[in-house]
Amino acid sequence: MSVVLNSIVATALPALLVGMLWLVGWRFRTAYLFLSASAVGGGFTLLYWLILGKPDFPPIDATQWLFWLALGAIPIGWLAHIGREFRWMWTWVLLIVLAVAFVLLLRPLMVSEFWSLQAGVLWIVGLTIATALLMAGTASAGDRPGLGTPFLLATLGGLSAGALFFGKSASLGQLAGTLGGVVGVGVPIGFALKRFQMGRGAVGLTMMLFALLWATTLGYAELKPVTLALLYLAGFSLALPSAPFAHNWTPLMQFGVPFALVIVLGGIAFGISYASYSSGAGGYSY
Amino acid sequence: MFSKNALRGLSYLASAVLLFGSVAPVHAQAATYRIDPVHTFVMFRVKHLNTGFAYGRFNTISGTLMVDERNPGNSSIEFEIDANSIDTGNTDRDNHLRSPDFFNARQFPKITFKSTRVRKINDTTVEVTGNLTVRGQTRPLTTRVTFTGKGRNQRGQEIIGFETAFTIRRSQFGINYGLQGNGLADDVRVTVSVEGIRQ
Repeated sequence: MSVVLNSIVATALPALLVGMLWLVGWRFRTAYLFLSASAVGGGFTLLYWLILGKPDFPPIDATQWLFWLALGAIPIGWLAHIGREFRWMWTWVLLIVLAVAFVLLLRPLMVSEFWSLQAGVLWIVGLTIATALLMAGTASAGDRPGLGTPFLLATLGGLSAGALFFGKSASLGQLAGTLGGVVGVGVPIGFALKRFQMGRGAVGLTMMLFALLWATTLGYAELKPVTLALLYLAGFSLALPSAPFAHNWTPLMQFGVPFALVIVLGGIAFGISYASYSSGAGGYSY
Repeated sequence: MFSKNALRGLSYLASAVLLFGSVAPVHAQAATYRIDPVHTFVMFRVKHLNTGFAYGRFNTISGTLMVDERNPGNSSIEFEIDANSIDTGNTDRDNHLRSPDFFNARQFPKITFKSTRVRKINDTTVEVTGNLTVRGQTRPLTTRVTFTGKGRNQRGQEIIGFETAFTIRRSQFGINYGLQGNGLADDVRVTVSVEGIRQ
């Protein structure tokens, strides 16, 4: 099978799965609390399997944790839908789960002494807090009807893919791009069904998966910290329409401002990775 | 009384006995050689886009050879390669090869081989069986190793040389990038030429 055909299949099958679950489930409020995030977690594990093959358990290679964490974190998506009065509990669960996830993912770098213990702990704490804030801040974007949120996530996925690809990991870049493509199935659904919502759990879990992919490329490949920071900031822009100062924004602004920020911040991140790649001038094109 | 010549003959005999007595036990046990990183080469080639071969090498190698010339079955070899020392003549490609797409060298900085059995084939060839660990995955490997020479280096140290070539399937070590569409072949031909300095 050709690389192009394989990439299409690797994106299309999970996208089909996610799209079907969202289409079937979104009208049934209670069921959708579970389905919205389960679709993203299931879709990511399927695309991982199609692109990189079946991972070992327990993982030999730290990057294989991405598969198991996507499955294991699905309940985090379910919890994203709990009421506002219990949201603090979700935040605490997020902090604990994310800390465990980043330890599993990044501990081998301390074992191999690529990172000192101190540097590793600092990275894990920083990434845990940043990702918890990202998930908690952007989950409300899942309540916004229409195609805006899936479009923003698909754009973020595409720019992440470029940044990770030129950050010297083609496979992690491919995972980020196909994840963007998979959640991007919400665009045609949102176009056809104006009241369609991705759901808080789906957005929260998608953000978590993006963050895990960014962190993995930072740790194991050559993504620069500044690029990582820009990708986080691009992600945070989805939270802007929920901020108190944005309550009077028109629907166009609610989509346009985060979109512009995703393009600018994600574009700079992409550009930094590409500049680093092209400065090699060695003619190597993967 | 003994003549002068007879005394000289006895002293030669005594010297020979002493020499034999001291040399023979050394030959009966394995001699230890440290792998000379300057004169040891680990090279590989893999087919690119089902067209031409891409070549590379690892520049940092260490290890030990235990060579028992009388009883090769007692010989052994252990070596360690720094995965970060990969060198294909292109920095971008080397960095990509260090990434999780290939060696994941930040998590698995060492490639190791440890022999478990050495079997004599003929006077210049042995069959070495052992465990090769790449990217944290250990797989058995059997290869024929040829004795290429013995001598002394410029410092007067005893040196010994061996060479082997074998093919591994990189997918067995979890290195699957580029397999789809025959971007890079699964089979990797590895050539190892070792020079050891006697300790």
